[in-house]
Amino acid sequence: MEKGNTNTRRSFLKTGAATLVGSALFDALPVQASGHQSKPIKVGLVGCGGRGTGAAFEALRASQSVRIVAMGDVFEDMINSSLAKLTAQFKDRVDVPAKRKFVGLDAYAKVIAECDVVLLATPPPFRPAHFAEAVRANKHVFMEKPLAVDVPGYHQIQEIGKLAEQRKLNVVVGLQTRYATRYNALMEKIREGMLGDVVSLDVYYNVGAPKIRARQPGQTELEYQLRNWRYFNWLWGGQLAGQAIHQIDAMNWLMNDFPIAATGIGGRQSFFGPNQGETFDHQYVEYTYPNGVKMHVQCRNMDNCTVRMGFYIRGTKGYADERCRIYDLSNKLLWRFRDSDEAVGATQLEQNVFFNAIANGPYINNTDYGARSTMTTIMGRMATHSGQDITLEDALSSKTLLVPEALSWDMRMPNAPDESGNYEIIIPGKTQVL
Amino acid sequence: MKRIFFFRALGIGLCLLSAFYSRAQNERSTRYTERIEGTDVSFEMVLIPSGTFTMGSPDSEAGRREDEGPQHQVSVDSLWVGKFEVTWDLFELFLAENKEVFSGLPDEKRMQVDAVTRPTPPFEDPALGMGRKGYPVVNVSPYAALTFCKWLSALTGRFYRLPTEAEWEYVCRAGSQSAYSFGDDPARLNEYAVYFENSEAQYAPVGSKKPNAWGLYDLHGNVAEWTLDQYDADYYARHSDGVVHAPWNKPTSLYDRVFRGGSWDDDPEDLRSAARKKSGMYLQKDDPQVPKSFWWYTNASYIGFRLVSPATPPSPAEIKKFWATVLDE
Repeated sequence: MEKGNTNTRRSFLKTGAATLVGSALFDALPVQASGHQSKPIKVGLVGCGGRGTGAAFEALRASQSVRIVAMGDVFEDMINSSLAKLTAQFKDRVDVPAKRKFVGLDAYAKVIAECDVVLLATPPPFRPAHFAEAVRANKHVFMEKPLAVDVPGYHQIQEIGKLAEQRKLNVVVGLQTRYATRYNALMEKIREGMLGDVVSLDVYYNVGAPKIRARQPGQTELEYQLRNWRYFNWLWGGQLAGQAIHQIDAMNWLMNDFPIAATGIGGRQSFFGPNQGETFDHQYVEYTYPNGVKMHVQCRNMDNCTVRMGFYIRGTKGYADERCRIYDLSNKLLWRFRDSDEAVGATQLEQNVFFNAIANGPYINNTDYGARSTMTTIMGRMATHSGQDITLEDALSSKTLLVPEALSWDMRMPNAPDESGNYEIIIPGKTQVL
Repeated sequence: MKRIFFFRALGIGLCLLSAFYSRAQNERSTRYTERIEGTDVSFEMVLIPSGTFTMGSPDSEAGRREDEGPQHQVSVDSLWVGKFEVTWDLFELFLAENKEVFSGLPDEKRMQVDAVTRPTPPFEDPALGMGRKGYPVVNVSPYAALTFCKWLSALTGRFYRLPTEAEWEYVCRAGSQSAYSFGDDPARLNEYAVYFENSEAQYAPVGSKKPNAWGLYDLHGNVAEWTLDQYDADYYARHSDGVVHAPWNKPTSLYDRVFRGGSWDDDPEDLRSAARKKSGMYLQKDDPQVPKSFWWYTNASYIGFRLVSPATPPSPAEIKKFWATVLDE
């Protein structure tokens, strides 16, 4: 990995040298740099989109021992396009012949059977089933966030996470904020008391509309929805789960706790018609932590609007934001993190940690916080969809399944569109979520 | 990667020298203002005479790094140089729907402008909330910066591009031999540059500090600036004899490209006239997808660019060849 600068910057911290918690916790070096050149690690990829492909690249960079040996997706073109990119850069360590390219709704189990380590990066409704199969087959698991889209899925993930722990199967969850050096440094400063007591949290995930994958002739309803997955609640989990979970999880990490109640509003103002499914394009949720602190989360998916992915943490002595700056109450900059020296990003760091744990230990399992932050997003969506205040206790007892129990290409989808191709839109006050 | 950039279809070739486009300046003067028709956006260019200078830094210079030597003589042709770094105001026109913004243009011109591929919308706010109006554009890849130059050339009828590394240092030095264009003392940086100590953790509007001797602002600091060159640590060693004319280390890969001048996020030694920086994947480290964006970087909120235009315009054939080279068309 190249470094940006021809010599090292003086320091990344404005106020003196500090021990960087990130580098203490996480070995930022690729595995081979620590001297371990063990036998090849066979890695399979389930879900070959942009994020899955990114994770596979990072796995290859994390350890010289990594070989990509199997790939699975519901669509063959996704596998081929991902494989071409991987092969172009890592010809010698990508070995996925036709017989280990698995296409279809059951591809995941076939990939898992071929590997030691699996990267799970499909849309989230399938994660519980994929995680269950991987742990059943005794594989180490990297899995992308969110981990589920409904409450039964959450419970299943937690159960499997415990089984993975018993079997000492390493599990890393793709909530990369927790692996980012700068956020570790920020959290340490806040825990040291630079902000005083945290009194309020704001989260922003205001971005453009997801890319539309319009319906193509000959597609079944399931195929269309899978291609255009970011416009369907059961496939995406909504904005809170699909996008804002990074910042929501960062706040949960900071609070070392999880919200116990949510109330919120949301709707569809700019999304319209069959190509934009049934998801909300804006939501606002007020969460309450056990100590009474509120987290206010706003999300927007609309083009040509102000974009911000971040947070604002207010304490009794000052405030902090996603650029890892801490100010006092008179707006004086107290501290900032300077990260332009770091050669790799957090998605690489999390793979380095994962493959280091597999090769050298210590054992790592992110399932619990990954699942609980996923549950925070599910609870928030329940509040905005129903228009009701939702407690965690009530939410956890929900038996509502968003994910159809058995999938087949020609099945009748529970959320099938009407004759004009439009989908039933959630109406707060009418829609039941519990 | 053999290709300079991933292949991108860039539409029909452009005839750039149909310079009938109105420009509010006298070509023989030493500065002009380019006004973008149909908008209230304009930018200023300053004529810099040709000359010969000593490129690189001496061993004795504080903060000097190995790749800044050996010092060698370089001659540079006369060129127009942006008085300021390119602002969001100008760059955003490139992102806008051309048909709407430039509906008043003649059909032929509009077709040329439309033919240039434009960036996909960024996922994050590339300005990171630091402000847009009057502020320098950042987080754009060299590919995006050069495609913007091509678009701007089609729009204005004048050939615009990034400076070579040698041109950049020549105009930064403005005749000086010292570490900074104003002398060697970093204590005076506050008068001339937005850098780590005085930046309040963000860039400033362009032109907020004093200009150099040639009337150009923010060469030191504010945002670092892309050049046309590939970074090679030993590049200067390849031509240390005599005077080298108009050197350009043509890129052969996506990384590493040279950027210069230091930024709001840098320390004094990184703002020196001779200091060289190289791009790399670290500028996209927070882009979780593969393929990563060709247009937008996620970790380059301190890198922008400045326009130049050769005083003697190249021929249409040369210009065509130039775009083919730098954009891998």
